[in-house]
Amino acid sequence: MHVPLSPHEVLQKPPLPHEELTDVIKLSMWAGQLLLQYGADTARVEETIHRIGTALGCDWLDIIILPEGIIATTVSGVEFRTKVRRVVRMGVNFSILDKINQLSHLIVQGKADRHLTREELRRISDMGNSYNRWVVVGMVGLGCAALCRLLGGDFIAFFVTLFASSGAMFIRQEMHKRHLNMMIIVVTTSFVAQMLASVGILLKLGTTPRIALAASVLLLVPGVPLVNSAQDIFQGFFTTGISRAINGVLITLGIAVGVVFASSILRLGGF
Amino acid sequence: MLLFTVLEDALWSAIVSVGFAILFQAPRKTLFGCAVAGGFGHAIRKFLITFGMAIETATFLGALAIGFWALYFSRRYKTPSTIFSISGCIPMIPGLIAYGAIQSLINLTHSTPETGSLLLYEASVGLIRTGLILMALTLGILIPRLVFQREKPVV
Repeated sequence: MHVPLSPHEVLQKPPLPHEELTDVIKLSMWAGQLLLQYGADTARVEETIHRIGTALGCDWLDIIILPEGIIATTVSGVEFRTKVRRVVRMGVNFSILDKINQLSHLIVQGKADRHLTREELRRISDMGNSYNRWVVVGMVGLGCAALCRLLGGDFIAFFVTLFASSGAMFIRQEMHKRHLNMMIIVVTTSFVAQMLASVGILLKLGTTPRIALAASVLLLVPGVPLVNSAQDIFQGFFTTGISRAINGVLITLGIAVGVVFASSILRLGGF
Repeated sequence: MLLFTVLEDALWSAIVSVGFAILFQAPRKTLFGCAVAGGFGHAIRKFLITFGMAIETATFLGALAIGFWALYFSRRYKTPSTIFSISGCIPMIPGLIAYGAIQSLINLTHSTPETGSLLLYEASVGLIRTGLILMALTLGILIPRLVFQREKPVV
Protein backbone atom coordinates (compact mmCIF):
# COMPACT_ATOMS: atom_id res chain seq x y z
CA MET A 1 0.00 0.00 0.00
CA HIS A 2 1.21 3.47 -0.85
CA VAL A 3 1.67 5.59 2.23
CA PRO A 4 1.51 9.36 1.58
CA LEU A 5 4.70 11.06 2.73
CA SER A 6 3.54 14.65 3.08
CA PRO A 7 0.16 16.36 3.53
CA HIS A 8 0.54 17.85 0.05
CA GLU A 9 0.62 14.42 -1.50
CA VAL A 10 -2.74 13.55 0.09
CA LEU A 11 -4.45 16.50 -1.56
CA GLN A 12 -4.55 15.17 -5.08
CA LYS A 13 -7.88 16.81 -5.87
CA PRO A 14 -7.93 20.54 -6.63
CA PRO A 15 -9.60 22.48 -3.80
CA LEU A 16 -13.24 23.32 -4.57
CA PRO A 17 -14.50 26.91 -4.76
CA HIS A 18 -16.73 28.00 -1.85
CA GLU A 19 -20.13 27.71 -3.52
CA GLU A 20 -19.23 24.34 -5.01
CA LEU A 21 -18.21 22.99 -1.61
CA THR A 22 -21.53 24.18 -0.16
CA ASP A 23 -23.34 22.50 -3.02
CA VAL A 24 -21.54 19.19 -2.54
CA ILE A 25 -22.48 18.91 1.14
CA LYS A 26 -26.05 19.94 0.39
CA LEU A 27 -26.50 17.32 -2.36
CA SER A 28 -24.80 14.42 -0.60
CA MET A 29 -26.79 15.01 2.59
CA TRP A 30 -30.01 15.33 0.62
CA ALA A 31 -29.40 11.85 -0.80
CA GLY A 32 -28.59 10.54 2.67
CA GLN A 33 -31.72 12.08 4.13
CA LEU A 34 -33.92 10.39 1.52
CA LEU A 35 -32.26 7.03 2.20
CA LEU A 36 -32.65 7.30 5.98
CA GLN A 37 -36.29 8.39 5.67
CA TYR A 38 -37.37 5.61 3.38
CA GLY A 39 -35.89 2.58 5.12
CA ALA A 40 -32.19 2.10 4.27
CA ASP A 41 -29.80 0.65 6.83
CA THR A 42 -27.27 3.01 8.40
CA ALA A 43 -24.20 1.57 6.67
CA ARG A 44 -25.81 2.21 3.29
CA VAL A 45 -26.67 5.81 4.22
CA GLU A 46 -23.14 6.53 5.39
CA GLU A 47 -21.50 4.89 2.38
CA THR A 48 -23.74 6.68 -0.10
CA ILE A 49 -23.12 10.12 1.41
CA HIS A 50 -19.39 9.48 1.39
CA ARG A 51 -19.40 8.14 -2.16
CA ILE A 52 -21.40 11.05 -3.57
CA GLY A 53 -19.37 13.66 -1.67
CA THR A 54 -15.97 12.36 -2.75
CA ALA A 55 -17.11 11.74 -6.33
CA LEU A 56 -18.30 15.35 -6.59
CA GLY A 57 -14.83 16.60 -5.67
CA CYS A 58 -14.35 16.62 -1.88
CA ASP A 59 -11.28 15.10 -0.26
CA TRP A 60 -13.04 13.58 2.70
CA LEU A 61 -16.32 13.49 4.63
CA ASP A 62 -16.98 12.77 8.29
CA ILE A 63 -20.53 11.58 8.82
CA ILE A 64 -22.57 10.87 11.95
CA ILE A 65 -25.95 9.24 11.46
CA LEU A 66 -28.51 9.60 14.22
CA PRO A 67 -32.10 8.37 14.27
CA GLU A 68 -33.30 12.00 14.06
CA GLY A 69 -30.83 13.40 11.60
CA ILE A 70 -27.46 13.47 9.88
CA ILE A 71 -24.39 15.54 10.78
CA ALA A 72 -21.62 15.75 8.19
CA THR A 73 -18.47 17.70 7.43
CA THR A 74 -16.94 17.95 3.96
CA VAL A 75 -13.27 18.72 3.62
CA SER A 76 -11.63 20.12 0.50
CA GLY A 77 -8.11 21.45 0.74
CA VAL A 78 -8.01 23.75 3.75
CA GLU A 79 -11.73 24.58 3.56
CA PHE A 80 -14.50 22.67 5.27
CA ARG A 81 -18.26 22.84 5.67
CA THR A 82 -20.42 21.28 8.39
CA LYS A 83 -24.16 20.82 8.14
CA VAL A 84 -26.96 19.28 10.19
CA ARG A 85 -29.90 17.78 8.38
CA ARG A 86 -33.02 16.82 10.27
CA VAL A 87 -34.77 13.61 9.22
CA VAL A 88 -38.51 13.14 9.58
CA ARG A 89 -39.63 9.54 9.60
CA MET A 90 -41.98 9.00 6.70
CA GLY A 91 -42.14 5.27 6.16
CA VAL A 92 -40.82 2.78 3.65
CA ASN A 93 -40.29 3.29 -0.07
CA PHE A 94 -37.92 0.84 -1.73
CA SER A 95 -38.24 2.55 -5.13
CA ILE A 96 -36.49 5.61 -3.74
CA LEU A 97 -33.65 3.48 -2.35
CA ASP A 98 -33.24 1.89 -5.79
CA LYS A 99 -33.21 5.27 -7.58
CA ILE A 100 -30.65 6.81 -5.18
CA ASN A 101 -28.47 3.72 -5.57
CA GLN A 102 -28.48 4.17 -9.36
CA LEU A 103 -27.81 7.90 -9.04
CA SER A 104 -24.81 7.36 -6.76
CA HIS A 105 -23.28 4.94 -9.28
CA LEU A 106 -23.82 7.50 -12.08
CA ILE A 107 -22.04 10.15 -10.01
CA VAL A 108 -19.11 7.84 -9.24
CA GLN A 109 -18.75 7.00 -12.95
CA GLY A 110 -18.60 10.74 -13.66
CA LYS A 111 -21.82 10.69 -15.70
CA ALA A 112 -23.62 13.17 -13.45
CA ASP A 113 -22.26 16.52 -12.29
CA ARG A 114 -23.73 18.54 -9.42
CA HIS A 115 -26.36 20.23 -11.59
CA LEU A 116 -27.67 16.94 -12.98
CA THR A 117 -27.50 15.46 -9.46
CA ARG A 118 -29.65 18.27 -8.11
CA GLU A 119 -32.25 17.77 -10.84
CA GLU A 120 -32.30 14.01 -10.25
CA LEU A 121 -32.66 14.39 -6.48
CA ARG A 122 -35.52 16.84 -6.97
CA ARG A 123 -37.21 14.32 -9.27
CA ILE A 124 -36.70 11.45 -6.79
CA SER A 125 -38.08 13.51 -3.86
CA ASP A 126 -41.22 14.36 -5.83
CA MET A 127 -41.62 10.80 -7.12
CA GLY A 128 -44.46 9.75 -4.82
CA ASN A 129 -45.78 6.21 -4.80
CA SER A 130 -45.01 3.86 -7.66
CA TYR A 131 -48.24 1.89 -7.24
CA ASN A 132 -51.85 2.99 -7.43
CA ARG A 133 -53.40 2.96 -3.95
CA TRP A 134 -56.03 0.41 -4.97
CA VAL A 135 -53.35 -1.95 -6.24
CA VAL A 136 -51.71 -1.66 -2.81
CA VAL A 137 -55.02 -2.31 -1.02
CA GLY A 138 -55.75 -5.38 -3.15
CA MET A 139 -52.27 -6.86 -3.04
CA VAL A 140 -51.85 -6.35 0.72
CA GLY A 141 -55.22 -8.04 1.25
CA LEU A 142 -54.17 -10.90 -0.99
CA GLY A 143 -50.81 -11.15 0.78
CA CYS A 144 -52.42 -11.46 4.22
CA ALA A 145 -54.94 -13.96 2.84
CA ALA A 146 -52.08 -16.06 1.46
CA LEU A 147 -50.44 -15.87 4.91
CA CYS A 148 -53.70 -17.17 6.35
CA ARG A 149 -53.40 -20.21 4.05
CA LEU A 150 -49.77 -20.69 5.11
CA LEU A 151 -50.82 -20.66 8.77
CA GLY A 152 -53.34 -23.42 8.04
CA GLY A 153 -56.60 -21.57 7.36
CA ASP A 154 -59.26 -22.95 5.01
CA PHE A 155 -60.58 -21.12 1.95
CA ILE A 156 -63.39 -19.42 3.88
CA ALA A 157 -60.81 -17.98 6.27
CA PHE A 158 -58.82 -16.95 3.16
CA PHE A 159 -61.67 -14.78 1.91
CA VAL A 160 -62.44 -13.37 5.38
CA THR A 161 -58.78 -12.31 5.70
CA LEU A 162 -58.79 -10.84 2.19
CA PHE A 163 -61.80 -8.71 3.14
CA ALA A 164 -60.51 -7.68 6.57
CA SER A 165 -56.94 -6.83 5.53
CA SER A 166 -57.98 -4.87 2.44
CA GLY A 167 -60.44 -2.85 4.54
CA ALA A 168 -57.81 -2.22 7.22
CA MET A 169 -55.25 -1.18 4.59
CA PHE A 170 -57.74 1.29 3.13
CA ILE A 171 -58.31 2.84 6.57
CA ARG A 172 -54.54 2.96 7.14
CA GLN A 173 -54.00 4.88 3.89
CA GLU A 174 -56.77 7.33 4.77
CA MET A 175 -55.20 8.01 8.18
CA HIS A 176 -51.75 8.30 6.62
CA LYS A 177 -53.08 10.94 4.23
CA ARG A 178 -54.33 12.95 7.21
CA HIS A 179 -50.90 12.75 8.93
CA LEU A 180 -52.10 11.07 12.10
CA ASN A 181 -49.63 9.95 14.75
CA MET A 182 -47.92 6.64 13.87
CA MET A 183 -49.05 4.79 17.00
CA ILE A 184 -52.67 5.87 16.54
CA ILE A 185 -52.56 4.58 12.97
CA VAL A 186 -51.18 1.21 14.11
CA VAL A 187 -53.70 0.69 16.92
CA THR A 188 -56.67 1.77 14.81
CA THR A 189 -55.65 -0.34 11.82
CA SER A 190 -55.21 -3.42 13.95
CA PHE A 191 -58.56 -2.76 15.65
CA VAL A 192 -60.35 -2.37 12.30
CA ALA A 193 -58.74 -5.54 10.93
CA GLN A 194 -59.94 -7.49 13.99
CA MET A 195 -63.50 -6.11 13.79
CA LEU A 196 -63.75 -7.00 10.09
CA ALA A 197 -62.20 -10.45 10.54
CA SER A 198 -64.52 -11.28 13.44
CA VAL A 199 -67.29 -11.74 10.84
CA GLY A 200 -65.94 -15.27 10.48
CA ILE A 201 -66.38 -16.04 14.18
CA LEU A 202 -69.73 -14.25 14.65
CA LEU A 203 -71.34 -15.97 11.64
CA LYS A 204 -69.53 -19.26 12.37
CA LEU A 205 -68.03 -19.41 8.86
CA GLY A 206 -65.71 -22.31 8.10
CA THR A 207 -63.64 -24.31 10.56
CA THR A 208 -60.68 -21.97 11.17
CA PRO A 209 -62.02 -18.45 11.87
CA ARG A 210 -59.32 -17.83 14.53
CA ILE A 211 -56.55 -18.10 11.94
CA ALA A 212 -58.29 -15.40 9.90
CA LEU A 213 -58.25 -13.18 13.01
CA ALA A 214 -54.51 -13.72 13.51
CA ALA A 215 -53.60 -13.29 9.83
CA SER A 216 -55.62 -10.13 9.25
CA VAL A 217 -53.37 -7.94 11.46
CA LEU A 218 -50.15 -9.12 9.83
CA LEU A 219 -50.18 -6.20 7.36
CA LEU A 220 -48.80 -4.13 10.25
CA VAL A 221 -45.80 -6.35 10.95
CA PRO A 222 -42.73 -4.09 11.47
CA GLY A 223 -40.48 -6.07 9.13
CA VAL A 224 -38.37 -3.18 7.89
CA PRO A 225 -37.54 -1.61 11.31
CA LEU A 226 -36.69 -4.98 12.88
CA VAL A 227 -34.46 -6.25 10.05
CA ASN A 228 -32.73 -2.87 9.71
CA SER A 229 -32.21 -2.72 13.46
CA ALA A 230 -30.50 -6.12 13.49
CA GLN A 231 -28.38 -5.10 10.52
CA ASP A 232 -27.33 -1.81 12.18
CA ILE A 233 -26.44 -3.46 15.48
CA PHE A 234 -24.39 -6.12 13.69
CA GLN A 235 -22.42 -3.47 11.86
CA GLY A 236 -21.77 -1.39 14.96
CA PHE A 237 -24.32 1.40 14.55
CA PHE A 238 -25.85 1.02 17.99
CA THR A 239 -27.70 4.33 18.24
CA THR A 240 -29.80 3.86 15.11
CA GLY A 241 -30.03 0.11 15.71
CA ILE A 242 -31.52 0.45 19.18
CA SER A 243 -33.92 3.21 18.20
CA ARG A 244 -35.18 1.10 15.29
CA ALA A 245 -35.61 -1.90 17.59
CA ILE A 246 -37.69 0.22 19.98
CA ASN A 247 -39.76 1.41 17.03
CA GLY A 248 -40.40 -2.20 15.97
CA VAL A 249 -41.34 -3.31 19.50
CA LEU A 250 -43.69 -0.31 19.88
CA ILE A 251 -45.48 -1.18 16.64
CA THR A 252 -45.85 -4.79 17.82
CA LEU A 253 -47.32 -3.60 21.13
CA GLY A 254 -49.66 -1.30 19.19
CA ILE A 255 -50.93 -4.27 17.19
CA ALA A 256 -51.55 -6.15 20.44
CA VAL A 257 -53.47 -3.21 21.93
CA GLY A 258 -55.76 -3.08 18.88
CA VAL A 259 -56.35 -6.83 19.09
CA VAL A 260 -57.22 -6.70 22.79
CA PHE A 261 -59.59 -3.74 22.30
CA ALA A 262 -61.50 -5.50 19.54
CA SER A 263 -61.71 -8.79 21.42
CA SER A 264 -63.00 -7.21 24.59
CA ILE A 265 -65.70 -5.32 22.68
CA LEU A 266 -66.80 -8.40 20.77
CA ARG A 267 -66.43 -10.68 23.80
CA LEU A 268 -64.65 -13.24 21.64
CA GLY A 269 -64.15 -15.93 24.29
CA GLY A 270 -61.32 -15.30 26.68
CA PHE A 271 -60.49 -11.63 26.83
CA MET B 1 -47.82 -35.76 -2.45
CA LEU B 2 -44.96 -34.12 -0.55
CA LEU B 3 -43.91 -32.35 -3.74
CA PHE B 4 -47.42 -30.99 -4.16
CA THR B 5 -47.52 -29.69 -0.56
CA VAL B 6 -44.17 -27.96 -0.92
CA LEU B 7 -45.10 -26.42 -4.27
CA GLU B 8 -48.41 -25.12 -2.95
CA ASP B 9 -46.54 -23.66 0.00
CA ALA B 10 -44.07 -21.94 -2.34
CA LEU B 11 -46.93 -20.48 -4.37
CA TRP B 12 -48.70 -18.96 -1.36
CA SER B 13 -45.51 -17.55 0.13
CA ALA B 14 -44.52 -16.04 -3.23
CA ILE B 15 -47.89 -14.22 -3.20
CA VAL B 16 -47.24 -13.00 0.35
CA SER B 17 -43.80 -11.68 -0.64
CA VAL B 18 -45.11 -9.82 -3.67
CA GLY B 19 -47.98 -8.34 -1.65
CA PHE B 20 -45.61 -6.95 0.97
CA ALA B 21 -43.08 -5.82 -1.66
CA ILE B 22 -45.87 -3.71 -3.15
CA LEU B 23 -46.73 -2.39 0.33
CA PHE B 24 -43.07 -1.31 0.64
CA GLN B 25 -43.25 0.32 -2.84
CA ALA B 26 -40.53 -1.94 -4.28
CA PRO B 27 -39.65 -1.17 -7.92
CA ARG B 28 -41.56 -3.25 -10.49
CA LYS B 29 -38.40 -4.93 -11.80
CA THR B 30 -37.73 -6.47 -8.36
CA LEU B 31 -41.12 -8.12 -7.81
CA PHE B 32 -40.12 -11.35 -9.54
CA GLY B 33 -37.00 -11.61 -7.37
CA CYS B 34 -39.06 -11.04 -4.20
CA ALA B 35 -41.45 -13.81 -5.24
CA VAL B 36 -38.62 -16.28 -5.89
CA ALA B 37 -36.77 -15.47 -2.65
CA GLY B 38 -39.93 -15.68 -0.52
CA GLY B 39 -41.30 -18.82 -2.19
CA PHE B 40 -37.98 -20.63 -2.00
CA GLY B 41 -37.29 -19.78 1.64
CA HIS B 42 -40.66 -20.83 3.00
CA ALA B 43 -40.78 -23.99 0.85
CA ILE B 44 -37.40 -25.07 2.25
CA ARG B 45 -38.70 -24.52 5.78
CA LYS B 46 -41.87 -26.52 5.05
CA PHE B 47 -39.81 -29.35 3.56
CA LEU B 48 -37.48 -29.52 6.56
CA ILE B 49 -40.35 -29.35 9.08
CA THR B 50 -42.06 -32.27 7.33
CA PHE B 51 -38.94 -34.30 8.05
CA GLY B 52 -39.14 -33.46 11.74
CA MET B 53 -36.70 -30.58 12.08
CA ALA B 54 -37.42 -27.99 14.79
CA ILE B 55 -39.15 -24.88 13.42
CA GLU B 56 -36.39 -22.54 14.64
CA THR B 57 -33.58 -24.41 12.82
CA ALA B 58 -35.71 -24.83 9.72
CA THR B 59 -36.46 -21.09 9.75
CA PHE B 60 -32.77 -20.31 9.97
CA LEU B 61 -31.95 -22.51 6.98
CA GLY B 62 -34.85 -21.12 4.94
CA ALA B 63 -33.77 -17.58 5.77
CA LEU B 64 -30.21 -18.39 4.69
CA ALA B 65 -31.61 -19.39 1.29
CA ILE B 66 -33.49 -16.07 1.12
CA GLY B 67 -30.27 -14.23 1.96
CA PHE B 68 -28.39 -15.91 -0.88
CA TRP B 69 -31.20 -15.30 -3.38
CA ALA B 70 -31.26 -11.65 -2.30
CA LEU B 71 -27.53 -11.33 -3.00
CA TYR B 72 -27.95 -12.92 -6.41
CA PHE B 73 -30.86 -10.69 -7.39
CA SER B 74 -29.19 -7.56 -6.00
CA ARG B 75 -26.26 -8.15 -8.37
CA ARG B 76 -28.49 -9.02 -11.29
CA TYR B 77 -30.76 -5.98 -10.98
CA LYS B 78 -28.11 -3.63 -9.45
CA THR B 79 -30.32 -2.68 -6.51
CA PRO B 80 -30.05 -2.95 -2.69
CA SER B 81 -30.33 -6.55 -1.48
CA THR B 82 -32.55 -5.57 1.47
CA ILE B 83 -35.48 -5.15 -0.96
CA PHE B 84 -35.46 -8.89 -1.64
CA SER B 85 -34.51 -10.12 1.81
CA ILE B 86 -37.11 -8.11 3.75
CA SER B 87 -39.96 -8.91 1.35
CA GLY B 88 -38.84 -12.53 1.22
CA CYS B 89 -38.78 -13.11 4.98
CA ILE B 90 -42.33 -11.86 5.61
CA PRO B 91 -44.01 -15.29 4.96
CA MET B 92 -41.95 -16.82 7.79
CA ILE B 93 -42.92 -14.38 10.55
CA PRO B 94 -44.46 -16.32 13.47
CA GLY B 95 -47.81 -14.50 13.37
CA LEU B 96 -50.04 -17.23 14.77
CA ILE B 97 -47.65 -18.11 17.61
CA ALA B 98 -47.33 -14.48 18.69
CA TYR B 99 -51.10 -14.02 18.48
CA GLY B 100 -51.73 -17.05 20.68
CA ALA B 101 -49.09 -15.96 23.21
CA ILE B 102 -50.62 -12.50 23.59
CA GLN B 103 -54.07 -14.04 23.94
CA SER B 104 -52.87 -16.28 26.79
CA LEU B 105 -51.04 -13.39 28.42
CA ILE B 106 -54.16 -11.20 28.47
CA ASN B 107 -56.34 -14.08 29.68
CA LEU B 108 -54.09 -14.32 32.74
CA THR B 109 -55.77 -11.18 34.12
CA HIS B 110 -58.92 -13.09 35.02
CA SER B 111 -57.81 -16.61 35.80
CA THR B 112 -57.67 -18.80 38.88
CA PRO B 113 -54.32 -20.18 40.11
CA GLU B 114 -55.18 -23.52 38.47
CA THR B 115 -56.01 -22.22 34.98
CA GLY B 116 -53.42 -19.44 35.34
CA SER B 117 -50.40 -21.73 35.51
CA LEU B 118 -51.37 -23.33 32.21
CA LEU B 119 -51.94 -19.91 30.61
CA LEU B 120 -48.60 -18.64 31.92
CA TYR B 121 -46.92 -21.71 30.49
CA GLU B 122 -48.56 -21.23 27.09
CA ALA B 123 -47.74 -17.51 27.01
CA SER B 124 -44.08 -17.96 27.91
CA VAL B 125 -43.56 -20.81 25.45
CA GLY B 126 -45.21 -18.73 22.71
CA LEU B 127 -43.19 -15.60 23.45
CA ILE B 128 -39.88 -17.48 23.64
CA ARG B 129 -40.67 -19.31 20.44
CA THR B 130 -41.62 -16.05 18.67
CA GLY B 131 -38.36 -14.45 19.79
CA LEU B 132 -36.26 -17.41 18.69
CA ILE B 133 -37.92 -17.62 15.27
CA LEU B 134 -37.50 -13.88 14.72
CA MET B 135 -33.82 -14.10 15.67
CA ALA B 136 -33.25 -17.10 13.38
CA LEU B 137 -34.99 -15.21 10.59
CA THR B 138 -32.96 -12.00 10.85
CA LEU B 139 -29.67 -13.85 11.36
CA GLY B 140 -30.38 -16.06 8.37
CA ILE B 141 -30.99 -13.20 5.97
CA LEU B 142 -28.10 -11.10 7.35
CA ILE B 143 -25.30 -13.67 7.36
CA PRO B 144 -24.96 -14.06 3.55
CA ARG B 145 -24.83 -10.31 3.19
CA LEU B 146 -22.31 -9.73 5.96
CA VAL B 147 -20.05 -12.54 4.75
CA PHE B 148 -20.21 -12.24 0.98
CA GLN B 149 -21.00 -8.60 0.28
CA ARG B 150 -18.00 -7.01 1.96
CA GLU B 151 -16.90 -3.86 0.26
CA LYS B 152 -13.76 -1.95 0.94
CA PRO B 153 -14.72 0.34 3.83
CA VAL B 154 -14.85 3.89 2.52
CA VAL B 155 -15.55 5.72 5.74
